[in-house]
Amino acid sequence: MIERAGGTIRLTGSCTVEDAETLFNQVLEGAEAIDVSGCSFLHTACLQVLLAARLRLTGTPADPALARWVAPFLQAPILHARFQTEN
Amino acid sequence: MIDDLLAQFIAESRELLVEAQADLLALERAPDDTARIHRLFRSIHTVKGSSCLFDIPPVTRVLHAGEDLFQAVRERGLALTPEMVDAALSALDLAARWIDALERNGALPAAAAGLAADAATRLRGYFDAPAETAAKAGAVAAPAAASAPAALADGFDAATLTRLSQHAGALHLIIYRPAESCFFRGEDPLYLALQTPGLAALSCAWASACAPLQAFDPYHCNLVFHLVSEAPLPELQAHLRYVAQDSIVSLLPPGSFSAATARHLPEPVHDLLRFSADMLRQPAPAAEQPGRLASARQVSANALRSAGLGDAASALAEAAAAEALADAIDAVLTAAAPAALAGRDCAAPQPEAAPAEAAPPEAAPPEAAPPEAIGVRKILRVDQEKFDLLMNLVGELIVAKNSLPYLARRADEHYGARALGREINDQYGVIDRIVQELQGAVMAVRMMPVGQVFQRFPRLVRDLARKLGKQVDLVITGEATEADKNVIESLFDPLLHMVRNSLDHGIEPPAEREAGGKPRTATLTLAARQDGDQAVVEIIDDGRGIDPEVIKRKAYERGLIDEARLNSITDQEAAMLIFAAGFSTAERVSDVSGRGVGMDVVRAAVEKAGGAISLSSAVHLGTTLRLSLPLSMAVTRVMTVRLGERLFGIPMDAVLETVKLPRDKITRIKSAEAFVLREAIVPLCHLSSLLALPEDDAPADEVAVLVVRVAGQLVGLGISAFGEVMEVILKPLDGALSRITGYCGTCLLGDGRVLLVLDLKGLIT
Repeated sequence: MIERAGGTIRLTGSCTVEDAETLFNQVLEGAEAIDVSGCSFLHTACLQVLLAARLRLTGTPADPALARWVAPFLQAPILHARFQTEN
Repeated sequence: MIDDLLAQFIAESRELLVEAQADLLALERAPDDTARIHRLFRSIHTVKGSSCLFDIPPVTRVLHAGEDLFQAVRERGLALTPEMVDAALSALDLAARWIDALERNGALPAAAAGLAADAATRLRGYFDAPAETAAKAGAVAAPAAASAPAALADGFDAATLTRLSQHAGALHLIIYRPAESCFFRGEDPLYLALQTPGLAALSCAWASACAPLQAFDPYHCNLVFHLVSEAPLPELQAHLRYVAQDSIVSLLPPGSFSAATARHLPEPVHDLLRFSADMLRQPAPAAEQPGRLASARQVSANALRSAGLGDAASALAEAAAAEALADAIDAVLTAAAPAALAGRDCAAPQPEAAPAEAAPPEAAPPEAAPPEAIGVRKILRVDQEKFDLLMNLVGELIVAKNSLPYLARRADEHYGARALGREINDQYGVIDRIVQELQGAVMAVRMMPVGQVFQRFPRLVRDLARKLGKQVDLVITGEATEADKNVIESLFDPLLHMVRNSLDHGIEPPAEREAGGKPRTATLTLAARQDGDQAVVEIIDDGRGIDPEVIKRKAYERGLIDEARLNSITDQEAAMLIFAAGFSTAERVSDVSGRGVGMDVVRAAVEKAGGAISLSSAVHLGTTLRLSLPLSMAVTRVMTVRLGERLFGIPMDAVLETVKLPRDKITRIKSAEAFVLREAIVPLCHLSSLLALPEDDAPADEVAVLVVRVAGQLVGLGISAFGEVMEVILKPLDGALSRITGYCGTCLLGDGRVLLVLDLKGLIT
């Protein structure tokens, strides 16, 4: 689920392939940060939007596998920078 | 298991093919609708992908050609011509027909392979396709084994690299570059990556330069995953078997990571350290030296820690003087320099993976389906038969429930247990309420949107319009209006006839329209809405309208009306004559309509479903046909009437009033009888003579008369006595009984008797 609270986009529960479009549209509308703390499932398409969005990410995903393997490269500012240099 | 899978494939494919057809038609009108072309591509792709699971190569082949065609449209801007749409539509039809055959016979027709080849060739003729060899190219174009060590430093943060460097056993590196279109196949590469056995590290990067955000396509997979696993090779190969073409696994010699660790330093960290070292070497007033040293140490240490190089950060803390710190920083930078440069290349691994056209054949196995699909769509597919059974059970429950008042009465009258009778009645009240709620719930599930029927029309209208050389815009509104499944299903044939009629007779050829000052393209509207307990569907065209004079003359010529009627008939009534049997005004018989059957059949079908049809038309402006149907046909209100000892049901919607008629008020006109009701003469029929049953032995002074409306006329129906009004589930007469006319069905009464419900129209006219 993609939710919006002011300048923050919140990922909650399962973020499915369908949600990627919503997430992307939210990013296009403009946002300050993306809160991933409620996310228990992240589809690759959503991951891709997160990486492309280049927004500040807050929180650690609720799912242990996401927290362990995905959160580090989502949140490390440098790796994030590495994604930015591609454009 | 296989059967379940096949059943699911059949149901899903049907739905997707219908969707694809709708998208294709919409696309023909609005070729720039990128969302549509994406969805169309996705639908066909999904069906094609799942078709590989079954032994039905012709389906796969046809759809593959279709998919390639739409890919050419989507990616190479190939313009869709009406001929291409024709070809694609007939390819979709073929696939749909074969899927029907698959369901019926468990196999495709023998001729399918040849037809598939023809259809595929026809489709491929519209674009210079990479042809079906593309499927094979996937295997050849598997990503070249990128030099693993070069890619190693990339992606993983330093902490991970440190951890990996301390790992004792053998490690495998997997470079997994999912196909760009993988999302459309239901793949979820991240999920697959996270499920990798023995996962020790994971990172990902853009596979090719990322588009600016505005042009970014979230459904175009542009990632490459780097995974390190402790698991043995066979286990990894098994895990990656469905993405074998998209991934390479290589064994990492022990010690691979120690080198990588040392060399790894991300660019911003590198820049920050460089800046700190330069600043430290600048001459500065002695007073500022301590502060400058402290801040440089702080900044550098933070930067290194953020890169996971905690050891290097603590090494900096030992440097006491500015010069020493600058040297220490330089030392870190020197060690890391090659990686910092290499990192740039690695971050964007060359698009080593297969190009899009060379995507491998997507035999998307069920295991590869993203498990999140469960739980997302909370829609349950239920076999219609199961549902009809549920409905029948509810009907029987209603009947069983209705027997409780009889039981209560018997307890009271027969066994003299008045108190027990009352308690039974109390319980009846409770059960009655629950049953009503249950019935309501079941009926709600049976409600279907009218759109289910409407969605078949864009294709029909397009094909007919092309055949007739007319230009028509179909506008559909109110497709969300809901009605009972049976009602919706009974709607299609009447609608089809009426739409055909509008296209054939109502809408003029473009030249004629232009001459009449109308736009060349006609508008045909299908509009649905709910009006009270009726679903109303209108078919509105802006064609030539119905000229009442022409209708009158034709009806007279065909002997449908006599001369007196010809002079007295109103225009409105004349227009309704098109629903009379044997009426057709077409100058020539076309294969679209105009065989003189049609509109009368329409009216019969609509009336059989308990609905009504009306029409309004203005010459040159167009015609509006209005169908109104009950929202639900499952429950019918009937009035029971007694004829001697027999009980019959009469649908309540026909009943106007009940009258007790003294015998002397009945007037005989030759062999017919009539009576006066509020200054109007109403013919009187006796139900006994209509049903050819014996008359009452002892005629009473009064006759019970039910005043009913049949085909727009008032008729008095003589019976023995009135009964009660009840809601029943009407079961049509079927099997050997289906030919018996005069009855619209049967239902069970609470005491187990069968009630015959009369079809008054069939009896009286």
